[in-house]
Amino acid sequence: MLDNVSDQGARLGDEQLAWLADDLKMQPQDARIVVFAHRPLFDLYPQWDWATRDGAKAVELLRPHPNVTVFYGHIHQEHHQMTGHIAHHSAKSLIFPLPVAGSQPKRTPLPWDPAQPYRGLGFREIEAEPKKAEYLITEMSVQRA
Amino acid sequence: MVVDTRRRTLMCAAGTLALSSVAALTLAAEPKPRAIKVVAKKFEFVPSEIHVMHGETVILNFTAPEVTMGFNLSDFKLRTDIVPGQVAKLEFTPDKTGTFTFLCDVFCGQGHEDMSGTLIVS
Repeated sequence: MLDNVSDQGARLGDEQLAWLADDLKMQPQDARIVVFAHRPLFDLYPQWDWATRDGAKAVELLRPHPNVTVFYGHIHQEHHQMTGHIAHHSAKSLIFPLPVAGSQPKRTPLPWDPAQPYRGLGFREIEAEPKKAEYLITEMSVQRA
Repeated sequence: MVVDTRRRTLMCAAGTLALSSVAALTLAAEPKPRAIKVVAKKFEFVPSEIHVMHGETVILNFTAPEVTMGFNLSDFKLRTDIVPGQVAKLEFTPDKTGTFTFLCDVFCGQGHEDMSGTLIVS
């Protein structure tokens, strides 16, 4: 879990990046790593503050690991983007939807429509499917050697 | 060889005067960057619309009378913190035309999300 919302300047900070680096060193190279953050770690649309000031450093730390997925919020809409092999997914909000990046002059919430009260709202469910089971057959004799 | 010292003195003076004039003209020809004062306060930039010419060098002088704020003009990769009691300066020469959004990128309170402005380069 990365905190990129507590800092006034929307930074992860050197201490947190150092923690991430140390934690990643303890993981196998191919470990399945799931990262949760509030803001996007990449520059989705910095003109609307949809970015993390030092997010690129976190992505660079994660880059050597082939199995990384990032889940984040902040932008109040579903969005999917890759940075190299790392997938970043944001989910809808349950409060109000925001417009697509740059689609209007300001990032004000989409107007509420009483005819469609849940328009743009939602949540995400993730199901992990385990790898197909493999069976190791060992033949045993009645008399052990 | 007879040296006309008076003529030599006059020639040297004329040369010096000519060089000084050229230097003065050269210095005068370099325009000073236009200074633009911008105040960052809850929760707006004043002015919220800044007009600049393409290729014109300007210096943005920021002040924040209340709390620390930020200025971020991502299209030109420019940003600065604006700390109360100090003038934050950003000098740049826009190399593209258009309308560009700048915003406060240091959380400054309820209303921070709406704190943005527009740079218009023509």
